[in-house]
Order: sequence, then structure tokens, then C-alpha cells
Amino acid sequence: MLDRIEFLIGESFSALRRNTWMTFAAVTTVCMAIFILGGLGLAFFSFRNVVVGLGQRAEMKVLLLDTLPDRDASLLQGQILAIPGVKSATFVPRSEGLKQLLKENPDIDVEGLQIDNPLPNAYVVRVTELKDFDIVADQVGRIKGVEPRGVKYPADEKNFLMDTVKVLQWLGMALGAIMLATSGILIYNSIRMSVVARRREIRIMQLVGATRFMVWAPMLLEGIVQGAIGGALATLILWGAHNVVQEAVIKGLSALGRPGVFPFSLAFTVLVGAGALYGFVCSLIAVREPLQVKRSLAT
Amino acid sequence: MRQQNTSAGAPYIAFANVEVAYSDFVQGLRGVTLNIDKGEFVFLCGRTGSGKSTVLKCLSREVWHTSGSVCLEGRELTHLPVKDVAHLRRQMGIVPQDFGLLPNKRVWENLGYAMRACGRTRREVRKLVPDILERVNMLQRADAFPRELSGGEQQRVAIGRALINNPPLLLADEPTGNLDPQHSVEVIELLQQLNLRGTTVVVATHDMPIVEKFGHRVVLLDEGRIVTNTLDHPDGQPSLDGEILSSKYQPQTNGQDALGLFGPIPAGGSSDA
Repeated sequence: MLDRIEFLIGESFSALRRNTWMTFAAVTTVCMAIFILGGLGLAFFSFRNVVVGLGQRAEMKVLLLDTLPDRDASLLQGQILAIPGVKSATFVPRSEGLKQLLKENPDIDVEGLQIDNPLPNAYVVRVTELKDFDIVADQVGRIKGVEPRGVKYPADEKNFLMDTVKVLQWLGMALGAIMLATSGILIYNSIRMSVVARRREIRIMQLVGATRFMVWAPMLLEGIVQGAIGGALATLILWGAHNVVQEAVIKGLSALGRPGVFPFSLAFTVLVGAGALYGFVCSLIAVREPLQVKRSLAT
Repeated sequence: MRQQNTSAGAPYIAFANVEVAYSDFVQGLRGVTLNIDKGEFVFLCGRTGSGKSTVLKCLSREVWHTSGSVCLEGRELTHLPVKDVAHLRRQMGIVPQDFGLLPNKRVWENLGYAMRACGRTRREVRKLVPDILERVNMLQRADAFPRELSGGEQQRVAIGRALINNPPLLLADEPTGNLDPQHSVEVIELLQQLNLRGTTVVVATHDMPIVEKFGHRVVLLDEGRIVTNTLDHPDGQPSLDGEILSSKYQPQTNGQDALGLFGPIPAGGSSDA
């Protein structure tokens, strides 16, 4: 058994050596494809985490009607919390609201204006996810006692963040798909070249009665090795890129929060596995057609 | 000459009304019926495109026949699953015209490679390769590269490679096609020795001097049909000297084509269907 494995591995590596430049092209393209997919995927999930974090920190202010008695106002909390997507709802009485306003804007001279507290009673509502803001705002706005158009939240900022997540998602998928298709074609071509380069060996194998597995396996292994090397290189590049981005974020964009640690072991396992699987599929497609025994030769 | 086994029982190889169509316009075989017994030595002769290689390819399942039936040792090959082709080919040795040797491997490595491809271990290779090379009288050249060998020696190596599975059947497609007369005789003598040890040998050739010299059974094909089968001779004498062939073809005295089967041989050799 070991003897057979050794023979197959030896055959596949001799083919890799024979097609050095085609192998190089295939490996680098697989690497770029996985890097783009993995990199944009990582960026997407990191940014999504940031957005989710922002969503949990972002607040929605719900202003209540002046005519609503304070006692009734405090009873609205249950109704607001019952709305799906609401994480918390804190009642802010008008007196407390004024205190906060003065704290945030110490220049305002309320006593000088000689007017009563102009602020209504309000609720500060937090949602579980940023994308829920619109739905929650709509439903809160319908509650009796809430001032018409009295639900205030940073809609533009929220829309910008959501659009950015979508762009990242689609960009990653589109670029990744293009690169995957390109790398697939390159693996396919390199295996086809391997079939041509090894046509003497393949013919002899077929003449002496080697099984289809013995004939195909070296080329399938070749595709797997190409994909796996591409995946491994992509992980290393991704790791380097993550460190560079991390430095930049720590220096300039700390407001967004500290980026997470790069999951090297997980990324390495997943990307090498994905590359190997992709290489296997591409080489299987490349090998199937020219090497299958054609019953239809004589029609 | 070895006595063929024509006793009762199914023939070793049986073609029954076999037709092979390569396309709507190109017919490989047209209703070939042929029996070969175990231990026989048969020459398949004919012009280029007469169908002699197609007969061999039907046996090795490089070509699937369109109709009729092909049996080997009583086993019908018509519906042989593709996955079983490899196993079938281990029961036969195939010697191609162009030797099919790997130029970057030494003689013993050529055999070893084929054996490893068939799943043999390195230990088995070390043990069996010298024996096989001894059988084809090439042991002394085991470390040579194919480019250092004569055509006859290369063909011997190819025959040796065909013996790695110790097959009871040997199919040789134009084994003397690229050889001079002296080496041709050597190669056929080697095949004859294997035949004497019990191997059934089927040789496709248009090397008529060789066919005449060895005097084995001859099956003559033309345009996909068997036109002469020396076993069908009333006397049962597998000889070309009788009236069978001479009545059909005018003998010539130009060496290679003594029976005048093929007309002028084009420059650059020929290949078969």
C-alpha cells in the first residue's frame, strides 16, 4: 500500500516539475483567488462586526406627546420592548432630558430664556442590529402617545454603513468568482498539459492494464497540490495583510474599535482545504474527458 | 511447429460476425468470424486499413465492435464494463508497433514502471524484472536507455514489458514494422519461443517474408473481411505455399512484398487502421 502511495506521489510531483511555469501560474492564481475571497470575506465579517457593534451602541430617541401624563408615559416601556429587534428601552423624563442637554451643551442658558423645560418625555431605544432601525422606528412611531414624526435616529449614517456592508459583500463575491473561474481554468489547463506531457506513460499504463485510479490519481494529486499550495500562500498573504491593516487601524481608526486577532490556524486549515478541494474538482474535470475509455470510438 | 489445440470445447478467441464502424463511411471490420485456439500462433495479414489492427483492438477493448460478438476464453466481451477493461488487459500482453518505451528511463525502469503502474511493489519489481529480461534476452542491456538500443532490442524490451503480467495471450501489432529483416526474424523467433511455452500469440503484420518463413497459421484480411484463413484449407495445412493465396495474389520477387499483396509500398512506411 505504502509502495503504491509512494509511486503515485512520485508521479504527481514529477508532473509538477515538468510543468513548472504552468504550475506556477495556476498556484499563484489560486492564491490570488483565495486571497481575494478570504480577504474580502474577512473584511466583510470584520466590518459587519463593527456595524453590529455600532448598531448596539446607536440609539433611537422616541419623543412622547406633551399631553401624555408622566404615569402613562412610563407605561409605554412594555409596548416598546415587545417590538421585535428592540434590545432596550430607557425612559428619560423631561427633567432628566434637560439635564443631559445642558450637560452636553453647557453654553445654553435656560434660566436666561425664562421659559419652562421645552423638552418632552422620551424613551431611548437600542436595537439588536443596525438593519432593524427602520422597522423598529416605524412600529414605535405607531404607538399611541408617541409624537408624530417623533422617532429620531441617524438614518443616513445607518444607510451608509449598511450600503458599505452590501458593497463589500457583492464586491467580494464578484471578484472572488472571477478569480476562482480564472484559477479553475488555469488548473484545468495545467492538468491537460500534464496529460499531454505524460501521454507516453499514460498509454503504457493503459496497455499493461493499470486501473483507472492508477492512471488518474497522479494528475488528481497534482491538482490537489496546486490548490493546497495556493491556499497556503493565500493564508500567509492574508495574515500579512491583516497585520498591516491592524497597525493602520490602531494608529488612525481606533474609534472603530480594535480589530480581532487573525485566526491563523483556522484560516490555514479552511483555505488550504478549500484550495485542495477546488484543485481536485478542476483536475477531475480536466482528466475525465481525455482519459476515459471511449466506448463510442466505434459507433 | 507447435500443435494447436483444436479439440472440442469453446475456442480461446472467438469472433462471430463482428462489425466495427469507425464512422458512417469508415468500416473497420465487416462480418469477421474467426476462431483461435489456446496455444496457437496466428499471423493476421493484410494491406494497410484491411482491419488487422482492429481485430487486435477489439480484443484489447481499445475499440468496441458495433455488432457481432467477441469472446475471450468463453467470456463475452461485448458488454464488458469499462471498469473491467484494465483487468482484461492484464490477461494479455500488448506489443505496439512503435515500442512505446519511455526514453528517459532505462530498460529495467521501463519494465519496472509498467509493473508499478499495475500495483506491483518495488520488491516484486526487483525480483521479476531480471527474469523477464532474461526471457527476452535483454538482461545484459538492463541499464541501457532506449536510444542506446537497436530497433530489435527495443522491440524485445516492449515484448518483455508485455510479459510483466505473465499473460496467456500476446497481441503484437506490426512488431517488425520498424525493423530490418534480420531483427524482424529475431523478434518473431522470440515470439515463437513464448508460443512454445504455451502463450497464444496473435501478430498483425504485412511483413510477408516473415510470414512465409515461419509458416504459422495466416488469416488474410482485406477491407475488413477475412479473405483467406489457412486453417480453412482442405488439408488443414497452415501454409502459404498452397493454392489459397497464390490463386488470389500474384507473387512478386521484390523481397518485402513477395506475395504481391499490397502493391507498391509507399515511401515512409505505413500505419494500420
